[in-house]
Amino acid sequence: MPTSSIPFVPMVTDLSLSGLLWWALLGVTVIFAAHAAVASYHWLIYGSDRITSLLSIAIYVGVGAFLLLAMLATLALM
Amino acid sequence: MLFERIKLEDDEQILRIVRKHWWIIFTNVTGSVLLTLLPLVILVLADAFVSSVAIWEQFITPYVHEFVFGYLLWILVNWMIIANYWTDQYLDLWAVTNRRVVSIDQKGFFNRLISSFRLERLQDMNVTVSGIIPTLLNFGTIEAQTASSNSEDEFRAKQMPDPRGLKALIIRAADERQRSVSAVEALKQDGTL
Repeated sequence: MPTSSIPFVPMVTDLSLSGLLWWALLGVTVIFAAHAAVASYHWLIYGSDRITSLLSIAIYVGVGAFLLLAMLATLALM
Repeated sequence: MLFERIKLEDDEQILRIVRKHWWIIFTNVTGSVLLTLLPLVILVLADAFVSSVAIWEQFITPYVHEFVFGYLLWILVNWMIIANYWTDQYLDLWAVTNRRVVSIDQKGFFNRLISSFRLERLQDMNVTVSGIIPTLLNFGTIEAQTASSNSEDEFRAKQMPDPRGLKALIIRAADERQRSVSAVEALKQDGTL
């Protein structure tokens, strides 16, 4: 399989399960980023306490990023 | 932040901010956590009932990375759902000030109803606590009827903690507000103001 500039990320040009999972990871990353942006906006603008809002954003984005990185690592190990 | 948007009046002080009872988000989050664990439970049950090693080696072992990926995706989806529960919990509130009550009803991200009534317009308040858990944990529905409200639903908040205490606070604040409004009107009639 040809590889992209990132060594372990294959160029997804086939319809193998692995290729589909890379596309799925890309899609879910975009969805999570959009959701996190909207949620963060609401918590910051409409929240009543700045510290609670910032803490919520940090926990939400941190855990989400950890899960996405774990998914990336899983695909890289395949 | 919120109170810059509400634009408090001069001398207006926030007496209390009330959000839904913690039990509500606790049950929602518990449901999501159980859903998150469901695939693991199914896997353990399958392990207990499918005794053939050959089946595992043929269908599970070659795809272990795919299963892990799918499970991580499942956790992420549930994590996003929990964030939505937190949004409802954090942004849904009643703010009681010494002038008015502001009700903010957040439904999802893009549906937000902000309404308020002035304390001198308050006519009646009702509290409903129904069910075993609401009775034990002291939460319920509080409704406010005002002189100007057309819709009774407009000032109804469900699952509020200590609804009787909240009602007492609002009525006390409304009485004080009524006294100060009456005093100002009396001074105006005397010509002092």
